[in-house]
Amino acid sequence: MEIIAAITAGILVSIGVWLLLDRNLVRVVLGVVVIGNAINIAVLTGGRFNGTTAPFTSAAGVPELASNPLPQALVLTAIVIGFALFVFALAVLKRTWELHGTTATDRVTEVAEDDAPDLAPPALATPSAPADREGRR
Amino acid sequence: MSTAPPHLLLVAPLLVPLATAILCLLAGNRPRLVQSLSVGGAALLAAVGLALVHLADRDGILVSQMSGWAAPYGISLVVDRLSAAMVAITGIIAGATVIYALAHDTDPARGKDFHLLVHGLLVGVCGAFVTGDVFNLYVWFEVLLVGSFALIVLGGGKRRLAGTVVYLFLNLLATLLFLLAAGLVYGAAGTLNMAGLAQQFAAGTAPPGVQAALVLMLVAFSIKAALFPVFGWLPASYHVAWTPVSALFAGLLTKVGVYALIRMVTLLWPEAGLIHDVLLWVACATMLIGVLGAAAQTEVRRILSFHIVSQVGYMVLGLALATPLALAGAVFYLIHHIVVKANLFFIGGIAARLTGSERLPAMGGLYAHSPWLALLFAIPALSLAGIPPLSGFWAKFVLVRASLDAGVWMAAAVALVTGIFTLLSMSKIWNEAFLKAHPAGAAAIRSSRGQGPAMWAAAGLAAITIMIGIGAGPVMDYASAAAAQLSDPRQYIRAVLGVEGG
Amino acid sequence: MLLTLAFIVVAMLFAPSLSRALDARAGWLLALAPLAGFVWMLTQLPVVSSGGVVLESYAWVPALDVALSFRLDGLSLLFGLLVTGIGTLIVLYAGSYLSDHHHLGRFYAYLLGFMAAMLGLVLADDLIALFVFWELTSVMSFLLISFQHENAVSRRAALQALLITGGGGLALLAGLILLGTAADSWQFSTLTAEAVEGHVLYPAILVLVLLGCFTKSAQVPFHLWLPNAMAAPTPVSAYLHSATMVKAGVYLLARLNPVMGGSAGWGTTLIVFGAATALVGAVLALRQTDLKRILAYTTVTVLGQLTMLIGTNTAYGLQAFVIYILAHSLYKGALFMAVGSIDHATGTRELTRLGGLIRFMPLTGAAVALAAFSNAGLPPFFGFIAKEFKYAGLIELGPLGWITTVVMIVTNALLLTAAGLIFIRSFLGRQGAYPRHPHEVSVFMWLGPMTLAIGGFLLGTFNNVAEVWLVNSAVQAVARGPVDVHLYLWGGITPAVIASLLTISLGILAYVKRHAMRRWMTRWHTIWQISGDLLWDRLLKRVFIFAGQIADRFQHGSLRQHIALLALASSVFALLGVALAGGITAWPPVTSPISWAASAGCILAITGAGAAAAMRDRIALVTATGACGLGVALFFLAINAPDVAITQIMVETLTVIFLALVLRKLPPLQVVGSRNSKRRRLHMVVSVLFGLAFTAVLLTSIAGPLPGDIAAWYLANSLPGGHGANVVNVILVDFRAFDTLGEILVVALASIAAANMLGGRSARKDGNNGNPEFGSVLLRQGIKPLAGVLILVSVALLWRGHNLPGGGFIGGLVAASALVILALGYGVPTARKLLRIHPPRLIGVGLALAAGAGLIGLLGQQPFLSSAWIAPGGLALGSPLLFDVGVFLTVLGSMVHMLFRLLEKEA
Repeated sequence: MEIIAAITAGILVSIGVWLLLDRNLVRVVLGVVVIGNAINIAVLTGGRFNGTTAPFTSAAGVPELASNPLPQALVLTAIVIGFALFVFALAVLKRTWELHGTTATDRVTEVAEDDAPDLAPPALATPSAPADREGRR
Repeated sequence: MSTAPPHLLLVAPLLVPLATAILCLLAGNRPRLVQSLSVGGAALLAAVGLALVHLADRDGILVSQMSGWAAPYGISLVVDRLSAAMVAITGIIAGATVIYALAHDTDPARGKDFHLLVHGLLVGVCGAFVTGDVFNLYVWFEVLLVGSFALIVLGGGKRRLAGTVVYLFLNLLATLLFLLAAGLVYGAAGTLNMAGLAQQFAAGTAPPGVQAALVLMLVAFSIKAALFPVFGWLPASYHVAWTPVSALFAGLLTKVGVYALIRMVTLLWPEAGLIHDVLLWVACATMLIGVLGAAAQTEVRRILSFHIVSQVGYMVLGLALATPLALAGAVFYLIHHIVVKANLFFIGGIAARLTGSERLPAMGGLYAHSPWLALLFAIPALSLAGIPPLSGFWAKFVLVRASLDAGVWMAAAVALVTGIFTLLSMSKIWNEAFLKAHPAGAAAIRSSRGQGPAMWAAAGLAAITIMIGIGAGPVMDYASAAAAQLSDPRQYIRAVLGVEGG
Repeated sequence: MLLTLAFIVVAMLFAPSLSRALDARAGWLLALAPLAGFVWMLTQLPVVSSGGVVLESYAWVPALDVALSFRLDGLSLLFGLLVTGIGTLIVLYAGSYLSDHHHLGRFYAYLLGFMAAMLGLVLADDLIALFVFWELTSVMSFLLISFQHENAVSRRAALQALLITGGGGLALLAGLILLGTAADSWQFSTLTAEAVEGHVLYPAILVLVLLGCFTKSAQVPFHLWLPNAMAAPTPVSAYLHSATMVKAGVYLLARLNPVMGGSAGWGTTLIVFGAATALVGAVLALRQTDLKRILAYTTVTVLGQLTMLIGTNTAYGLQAFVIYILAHSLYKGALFMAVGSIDHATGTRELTRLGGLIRFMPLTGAAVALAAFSNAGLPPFFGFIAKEFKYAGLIELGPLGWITTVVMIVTNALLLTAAGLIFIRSFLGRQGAYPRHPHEVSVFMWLGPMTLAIGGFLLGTFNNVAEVWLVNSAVQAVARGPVDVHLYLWGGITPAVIASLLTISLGILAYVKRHAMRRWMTRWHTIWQISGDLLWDRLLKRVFIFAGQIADRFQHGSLRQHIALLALASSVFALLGVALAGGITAWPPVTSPISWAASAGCILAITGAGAAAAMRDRIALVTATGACGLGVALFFLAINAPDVAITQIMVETLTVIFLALVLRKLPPLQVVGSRNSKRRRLHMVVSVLFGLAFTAVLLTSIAGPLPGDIAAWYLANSLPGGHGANVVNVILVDFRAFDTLGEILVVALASIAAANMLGGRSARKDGNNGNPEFGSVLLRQGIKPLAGVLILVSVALLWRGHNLPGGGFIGGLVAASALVILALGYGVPTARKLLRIHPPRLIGVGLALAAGAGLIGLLGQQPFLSSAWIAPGGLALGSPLLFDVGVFLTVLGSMVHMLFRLLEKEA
């Protein structure tokens, strides 16, 4: 089973990288999700699939062939983290579309290499009032 | 040690910023309160760091087993001289950054959750410095990463968002690699505890497969540390963020990667070997490519960003040489560079605010207009270029000497050539932004009103640079002692596992 | 000695404020600092001249064997006297010269700073301390050259000087490190010739040290920075670029001569480079018409001659070296200052416009006359003795000496011509055409040149005084053994005297024929065109072009190129790692039986991902992603990881909802992959390679059996130690709760960051925003009860999670989905109202609860997060449960926070 899982993860990660290299930011975001899935499989594979029951114990004792609980705990949290990061990436995607009017990756990212803009002159009127406001939440 | 370790103090590097972040979150819309909380939290963190430095120097390696479960079942929190120093310097930089952020600025990022996110990021940074567990290290990397995502995009705008896209996806890929590597380290070695791994390596019982996972992990660290050839994300993104944000990043983030590299490599491969050879080449390439990239830039922060890359090369060089002297040099460089680099970003930011731009051709006139700023710039700039008796000189001196001692002439030559190019870049900024007259006339230079906090933050860091330089004796003693600890993993193993290693 | 330095440094620190307070008179006060140093040095003359040394040492960086140690011997004393003595006069001079400059205070500070550095350099006994001062002189020189900073020429000259001397400085650093390592000593006084010259590193040391010295002392081909440095104000040129700093290089050569000068390579190199430098300087000097540049090039000549003299290593040669240092510093300092005065008084330094100045500036004229005589090497001036000894020293050398003697004669003759130009051309003859009406300068401006010029005259006449007190001990310090020193003006008819006569006649001839000579020289215009400056500019340009090419490789601004490089590099290194681990050792690896359900999950996941990679339609994309996630969930379930599977399903649901909400606002995707087929192939290769590397690393890592007992330990201790039957949950909230704390922080921060970016809550007031997503009333009927049930389920999951599948993460996700349904059905305002609490506050409370649960352990002197349990009525309640509540709230708050923002902006 480990081999199948490893190959699956490898294929998934290949597809993920392929998506990351796409020219559309939407697919890049999906690429992150796919790679995340692949890595979760890989981490679980690291714990081996020897178990035949889920890792639950009871007062009666520890089951003979419980699956390895540690990678499961690691992956569980990795899934939630991955989701949080995915939503952040989605937010970036959405903002990019709103600001740049395109989701073509290179056309977006090349803007970062533009010359630095001039700084706005300091506001003369009420210098402290609006700028000192902590952001709304 | 017979007495119980100071559990609270050991976990304080995380708890202080965490508590500060939570309080900032709950304080919500009260900017004054948030600012005071933030400055207070950073000051407390610096105090905690200094206390840890004191304790680590006196008592050796301090360990606290989280949740009360002994290693390798629980998570060990380990503070040795290096990590204590890193926490202290983190606190200092954090303090300088949040104070700097109080200065008047027209950037839309000002306000907007900045303080909350900075402290969130600090939890990750400090966590990475004190943890003794591979997966836990991943978690703290993730914390600092997500904190940095939030900070880099703060304020928005097309250009900043574009930089964020590059930063986001390349770092996501790096962190995913790290996750994979951490999982596989467990899969191969059966433990996540660094001391446990070190023990296996020292005893020669480590399964061969774990090396593949560890190399993958080193690759992930190298991306974070911005080593050649995977540093591309750094100069593509650092220059777009708000000034205090890029200063904080420049000071701390790559250094977490370097720290992790130092930690793992010294623990697992204390003797020079193949890994070190590869690192040596990588370090030399990083130094040269970074400094050449910097020479081509015409904006303050772009120049400085490429220099981060170049200087990370110096630290890794120290690691690659693997002699106690070289390690001491790497530790010294790490400490010195955090202070100096953050400060240069600070001062570059003030200079940009005064001249209205950070493009060198559009700057000028500051030498005549604000001599204090010129002095403040000169100190870290000369230090970065390795001019004695400032801190950077000692760092460079030790590394060159260590390279020559080890007979690695090429590395010494590269380090020295990099030094002269650094000097070139710094004098370029100096000539253009300070000496040259402002292209739009002296009247175009803006008032420095409201820049007080920023100037004080920069002055404080400059004072530290001078102190490290003039008082290099005690600092170098500490760095040497830290290096001695690093080059003998048995101490670490004994402290964490309570058994003799090897 | 440290006190002397400290005194000057203090003067430097107070110079700007003093200058502001006292105006021009500040100079008098500031000059006291170097004067005090001068006087102190004078008092040390008896000790040093009788062969003694003064030592002082302070620990600096003991870990590196670096000490701040000073040593005053004959050589140091000679230089120390020059630095402080001329320094005093220069400070006074500068006060008048720059009296109307608004940055005079800054100028004083730099000048005094330089003085301290230079003094430290000549006094230092520690190799590294010397280097510290060495570099400081370069920095101060940079500041002083660029003092007229708004002038681009000054800036360029300053940078050039800094890069050349700085670059040489780095070579010197390497050389000094090797020297210290080879001799196993970091003090000049304890270096021994046997240890250094016999060492295998000697050639490297030689090259590196000479590089440092040659750049600093402007030897060919590094000479070009020195004439350009004349962009500095004249006091600076007088002080740094003729009397002191440029002599640092020859100082170090002299200092190292006793321990490094034994090899043939040393002498030959010095003589060859010195001779070349002397010739180049002399020839170039005659081409100039600017007085200051003439002086600059003659300085180059003198530096070359000094280098040659050290290279001779004969008694006469070394005596000549010491005398010449002294003589040159005196007359060149005087001449520079006088030229500054002329410039100040007349507004020009152009030779062609000068003449007849003696009537207006008699005192300056007298000083120039005296100095020029010394410069020309005419008796009875000190310069004459220097010249005599030079010849004597070179002639002693044999064939090589004869050649160099010729060089020496020619260059000295040209020096004499230059001296003639300066005095005769400017002060005698017809009155020139001046921009300003010439006048004599103020007392401090003629005092300096006069003092130095008279000094040169007196030392020559009373040469036995100089010999007894100064020259003898200095020569002993430079020589490789005791040397008998005896100075004289007249030693009979020797070859040296004949050479002198030859020099003087040649010099006079050259002066008379100067116009013809210059015309002749202009014919070789091609030679003058390949000047060092031009080459320098080209070199710098090349460097910048090269740097630009390097930078472009990494600054393309293309995300895809960045990712491709990153992926490629990672794959290569990962495969190297696999090789390091010895490859996939056991094949096939130890495997467990194939699970068909898990395999089906794998196939579903791959199909989904593949579909996502190939399809354009947005709905299809969402569906494909969902299929991939579901496949993974199936896989998790099949390998007995129910908690993970439930989490995956919950997350997948939310993923699809979020994705659909965002994607529907975006345009349809135009193209799949890259248009460019070559790039497409490259991307294909990168992806496949990455996948292969990934699989290889994975299989290598799990090749052996899983070592260690951690899994078994967790299973065994979950219930007794953690009071929970669900081992995964116990790991999350107890064994490895520290991880979980970090993870919920990630979730919290990500949600705040995403929410920040998704926009403001203020949009809520926009009426349109309140509209629910689903208009159907029928659908809405079912939503509220469903949401209520989900909330209850989530709490149940949280509660039972410690023993059965569930827990804070899963509970939080379920509760969040309840609110998602509510927000979709009734609109965000309603959902917010039902939630009651502002989501960020929920996050804060959640984090605080989790961290607070950890603090309970600390109260009992236990580590952070140590669990504490109570069992009221048999119900086990512990801090891990509280921790899990924190997780629940954080996850819930974060998800809801993001979703509300997304929906609010959406509508």
